[in-house]
Amino acid sequence: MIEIMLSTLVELVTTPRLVGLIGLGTAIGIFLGAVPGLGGKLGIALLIPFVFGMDMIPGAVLLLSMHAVTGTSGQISAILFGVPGTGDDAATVIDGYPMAKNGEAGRALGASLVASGVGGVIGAIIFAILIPVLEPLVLSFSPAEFFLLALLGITFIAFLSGSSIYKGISVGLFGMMLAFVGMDPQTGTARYSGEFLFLWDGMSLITVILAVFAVPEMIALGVKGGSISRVSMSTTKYSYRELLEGSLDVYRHRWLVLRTSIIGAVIGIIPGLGGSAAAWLCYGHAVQSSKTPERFGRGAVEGVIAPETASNAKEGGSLLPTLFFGIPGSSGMAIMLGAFLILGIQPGPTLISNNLQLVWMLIWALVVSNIVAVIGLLAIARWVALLSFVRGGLLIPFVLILCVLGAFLAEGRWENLVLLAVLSVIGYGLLRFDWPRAPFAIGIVLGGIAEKSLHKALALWGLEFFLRPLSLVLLALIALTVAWAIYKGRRKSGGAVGAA
Amino acid sequence: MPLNGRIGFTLVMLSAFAIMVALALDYPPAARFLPLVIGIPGIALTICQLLVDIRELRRPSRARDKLRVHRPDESAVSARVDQLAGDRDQTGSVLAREIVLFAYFFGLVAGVVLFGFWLTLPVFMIVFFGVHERETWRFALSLAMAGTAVLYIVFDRMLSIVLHEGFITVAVREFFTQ
Repeated sequence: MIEIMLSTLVELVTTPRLVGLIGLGTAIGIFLGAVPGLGGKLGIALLIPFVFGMDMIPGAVLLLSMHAVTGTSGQISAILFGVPGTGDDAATVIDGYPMAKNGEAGRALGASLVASGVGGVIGAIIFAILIPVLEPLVLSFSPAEFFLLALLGITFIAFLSGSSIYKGISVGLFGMMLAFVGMDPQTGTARYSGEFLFLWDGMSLITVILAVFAVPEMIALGVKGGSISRVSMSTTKYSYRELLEGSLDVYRHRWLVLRTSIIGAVIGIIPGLGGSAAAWLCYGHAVQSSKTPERFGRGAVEGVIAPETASNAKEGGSLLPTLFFGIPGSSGMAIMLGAFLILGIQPGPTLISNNLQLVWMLIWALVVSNIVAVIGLLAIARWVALLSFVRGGLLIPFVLILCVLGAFLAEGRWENLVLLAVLSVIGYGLLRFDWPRAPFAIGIVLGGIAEKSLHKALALWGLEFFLRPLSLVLLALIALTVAWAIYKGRRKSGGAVGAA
Repeated sequence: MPLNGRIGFTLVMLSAFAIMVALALDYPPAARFLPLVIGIPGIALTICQLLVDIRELRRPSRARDKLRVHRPDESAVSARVDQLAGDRDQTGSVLAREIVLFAYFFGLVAGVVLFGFWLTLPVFMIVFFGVHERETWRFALSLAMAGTAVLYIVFDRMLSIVLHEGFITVAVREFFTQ
């Protein structure tokens, strides 16, 4: 096993063709991730005609290295302009964009890039470690556990509500209500969508996220005037030292990085939960485990590190069920599965015994492409970060155009543009009147998952699904989270009274 | 009591919950279960928020009344009244800027839907830079051309992505090709 592991690494880094394909895949992935609405799924679809006829290993290495790094570059626009490249990056906006406003764009980029790389590498390591115990782990998760996992994520809303618990929870519930738009999975009733067929599949997540996060920030920037950074360029130490500072933040919060990488990889393994859920659950975990949760939403570096490690670590995790069970862990992996079949890779448990070399080659491709992407992006990040000092008036039209393009490209529907315009008014209202937007995103990401899983769990086991062993563990976690939120809230109000 | 923006937005949220709950009542039991479980607490919480907003709105007016009752210094009262008037002016100018920026954004969306991406994007950029940012027309034109060229090369040439062509553009083209 160790011999194959090392020999595949040597082969990967010494074969010029494979090195070139990793470089090409990484460059394409970085580009696709940086443009809102494109992302890895489109990348695989675009690359399939090129890998057709290629050998198994080079083709798979190209596709995987491209797909693995799309999340790494999406954070650049999320941090600099508040425009998330994908739903996964929306969690990064919450603290990344305030950091850019505070003149810390370089630090935020350094932290998020290194966190992404480390998350990707840890995800690949978890992939390797879990191979022997994968089957019981995947099979132990059923709709009952999906529902309780989603519920656990939703309870994090209590921590993300900031000073106003009413606003936080109600905006989280509003996000969940929007997740119910579309065809009801149980009865087939079209809810809140009337005659609008495009809403029958539900609202496009990327459109909603752009409307609630990106467009309002640009309108606010236009109203305020000046540049994104409130701090002038002359007072900011704009050098590689700032990037290094951000990179060191990842080391300073190493236990958070480890925890969120494991959570991200495990969520990646579970088919159906998706990358956005991983990012938001880990963001919530970072807030919940922080001694100073009030810093979140105002530029806390942990709020950038946690979602980025999770969203890259999940790539390793989601590859596991795709390769060994033929069950894609995410929609991106579903397209990847089709591409693997075209390349002649037959997913299944026998892959370990029959083609261990391929398995290790893919693990190393994940590791190497993440490292290459981080090094490449860190090299240019200093210059990219300077965009936060450009006069807002010159950036606003380009960013608004990117938002409109992103909303259209998400599903190729013009109706999403109308949805973008309507929801951006609500998004601006949330920003203008200090309603926290993070709970909204958690609500819309996890609301749909919670509902579908609840119906399935009730149909399979009735209310007894709460008594399954893993369900009891998750219920205990939910109870602990709620109790912890109440305890923290009381301690805070007690402290305030004491101070007064 | 003046209906300020904060209360107005809370009312918007309350109305959204109320409308969604009212609509859910017509759905079959399984389809309305979660919308009601989520929507009804949403209504309760936004009502609580509304009460908090109203209480906060009354706070400054109470402070002003107190100031007038005690009459410690006439100039302090007039300074406070001037400050309140100044705040109103500032709010007015912020609102005007918000309306203008939203008008640009809605114009962009409407333009893309009606005339398509490739006609709307350069026009939007020229108008925004030229009129809103008061840049020179030459600068606005060159920035718009460069921006559109980059987008065209990336999306149309490199990625071969077909973007929305716009209903009016398609209709006009069909009219002339028939």
